[in-house]
Amino acid sequence: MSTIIRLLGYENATPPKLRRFLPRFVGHEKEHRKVTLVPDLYEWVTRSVKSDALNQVKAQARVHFGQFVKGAQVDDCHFMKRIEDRRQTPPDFSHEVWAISPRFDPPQYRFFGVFVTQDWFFGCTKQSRDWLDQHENRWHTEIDKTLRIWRRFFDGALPHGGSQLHQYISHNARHCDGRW
Amino acid sequence: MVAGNKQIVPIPLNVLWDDYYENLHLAYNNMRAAYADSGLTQDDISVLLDVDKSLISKRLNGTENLTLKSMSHMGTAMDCRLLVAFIPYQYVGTTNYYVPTPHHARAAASSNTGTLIYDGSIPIPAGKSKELEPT
Repeated sequence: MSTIIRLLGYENATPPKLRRFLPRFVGHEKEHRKVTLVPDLYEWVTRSVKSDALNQVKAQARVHFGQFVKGAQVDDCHFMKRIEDRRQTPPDFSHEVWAISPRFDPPQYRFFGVFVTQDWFFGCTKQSRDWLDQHENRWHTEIDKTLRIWRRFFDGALPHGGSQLHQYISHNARHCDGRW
Repeated sequence: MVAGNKQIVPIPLNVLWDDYYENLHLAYNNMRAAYADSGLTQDDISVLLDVDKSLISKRLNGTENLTLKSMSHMGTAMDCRLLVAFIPYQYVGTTNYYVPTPHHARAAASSNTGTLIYDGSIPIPAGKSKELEPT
């Protein structure tokens, strides 16, 4: 069964096993690309909490995902980035795990996931940037965690891959990552 | 709260924060686009603004808080005027909405017919009407 059909089945299950992220649309904004999240990540991103600081971090994440969904210009060195697996020589990208990088006010988080197909990102896990900075292996842990989540839902299928950015994002994407 | 005949309720905090970061993103993306078009390097801008290069790097990477002042200074270094516009939500997401500038007001005022007269200060985009030819 195709990955998309399986994903839609998970989204439409009761209760949903995966959640489509939809930002707040105003005016003529609409869903040009898609973001699906695992339920706990979806809850984290969308649910308000008492802490004002944490609410701001969540708003940054919602807006960053929202930019992707609304079809705003994205790039592969600031907005989101392929993760290198440095356990391999030379560093390897074939696992297809990406990190989406909301910026601005600290603390910063990185959201890890893979493309299900062109223009459709599947967010699996998140980690604080401060934690990741402590050791290179922490990035590898997130790669492994992301792939475990992927396999839990799409066992037997591979994440979407490509050799050029437009194979991941069809329009309004700027390639600036010199590593691939 | 009631104001006149209208029932007014506070905007939820998460909506305010979402809009704040949406606007910040837009400003940041436009600053990065202007930087890419400027042909300048971070070194060039740091010399022009007489600040440390790391500050320019932080601004362009989104790790320094953007303020109207810092964006204005970046604009000056890149030979760009920073425009701030309040666009009604109903027009957000359209591709042909333009932001009127003082130039448009001057151009409109220069015409006694109400037709927009082009003053020749900026190139005419290909395919535009002859109405916009310099007078």
